[in-house]
Amino acid sequence: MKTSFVAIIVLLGLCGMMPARLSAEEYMSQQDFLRDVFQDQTYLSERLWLDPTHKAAIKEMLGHAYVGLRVRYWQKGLRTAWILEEIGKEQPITIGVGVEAGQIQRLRVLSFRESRGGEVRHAFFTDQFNFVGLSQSRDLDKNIDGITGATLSVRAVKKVAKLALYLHTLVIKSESHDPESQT
Amino acid sequence: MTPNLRRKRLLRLLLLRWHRWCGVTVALFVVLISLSGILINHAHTLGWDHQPLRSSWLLSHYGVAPEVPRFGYNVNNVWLTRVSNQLYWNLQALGECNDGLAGASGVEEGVVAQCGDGLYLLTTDGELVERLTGPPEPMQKLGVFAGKLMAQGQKQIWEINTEEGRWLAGDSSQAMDWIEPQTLPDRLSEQLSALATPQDITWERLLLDFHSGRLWGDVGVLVVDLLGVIMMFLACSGVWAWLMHPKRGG
Repeated sequence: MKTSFVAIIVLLGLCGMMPARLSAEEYMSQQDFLRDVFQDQTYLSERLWLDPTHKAAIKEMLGHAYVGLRVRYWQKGLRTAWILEEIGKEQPITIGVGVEAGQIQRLRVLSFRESRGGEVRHAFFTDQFNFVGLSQSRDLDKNIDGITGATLSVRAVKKVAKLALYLHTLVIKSESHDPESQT
Repeated sequence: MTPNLRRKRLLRLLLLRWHRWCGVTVALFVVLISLSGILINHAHTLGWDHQPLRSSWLLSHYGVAPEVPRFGYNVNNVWLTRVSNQLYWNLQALGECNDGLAGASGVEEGVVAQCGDGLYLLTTDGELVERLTGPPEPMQKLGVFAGKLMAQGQKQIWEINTEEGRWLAGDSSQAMDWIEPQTLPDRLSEQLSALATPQDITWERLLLDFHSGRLWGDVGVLVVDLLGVIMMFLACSGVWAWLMHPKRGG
């Protein structure tokens, strides 16, 4: 019995020093995502400059200011693709969103850097965003089921979905007002 | 003494023996966990929830080593430096800069800073225009040749097209002079080192991780779980032994 207790003490004393470290997981490259969204057709890289009105609307959606004067996107016809980042708990999640006709066609988690919440990358979650649009109040027009233990990651993905849909409307609106873009 | 009574007495003695040994074994840990629990309860009052850890030894448990930057890139009297995976414009943090800072240069649009994992396009005032991500490989050097922005990757040279946000294969046979880092002024180096200490690893965080065993990773968590099981055993065995005391008719 004394031996067993000594063993317990030794075990308690020999705690391994294993500090928690983050590791970024890349699930899909940007190029692969764009190929997926545009189905191997050629697309153009464009830039959307954000004015103060846009930035105010984005701040309301995200809960924080968007860092950057412009946003890059890719376009083929009326389909746009956005690669955006949003902080989950502490680290950014890179998310790709393809939008057409005001609805999400594809949403993929490209990179995930947190130690928890990575379930959001799976199809059972991201497929919920297919054909989701933006309501008048700039919310998603469909309920998205969360994942237990991944609340912050889920929230980040939803924010990016809203942002991509909003930015898509800005692009389409600016093209409809610009006669040159229709030629 | 009847056989049943004898059996009960033996069982009680065995249980008491285990109870004593378990108590002695975990006594120190119970004291430590109780103390840490009390301190956690009052961490906000003590201000420990906002006080960041400064000790390099303690930070090393979180995989954080204090960094003292020595080199940066001077562009129009502004220093661009990378400290603790953050890009700094003088003392202003701009964002993540992973896999090294390959170089920084003035360009027609403003200023560019090539990190290993992306390119920052900045105005001449240091405001972020855009961050280009997804380079084909980590970039190691930056240069401007014949009006073109070029980057040296691990395998080849790339031409950076900021219009399209792409890195295009360049001519690797061409000799190029790459922008070299310069030694930071001592004062700036000290200030950046102080800024770069993580502000989110606080004394409260340390206490919580100590209390839960997470400070020692998965093994620490299992050990604390085991302590919890032993303490439950102590509670149950203590109550049972008390009930089974001969004076109480046990």
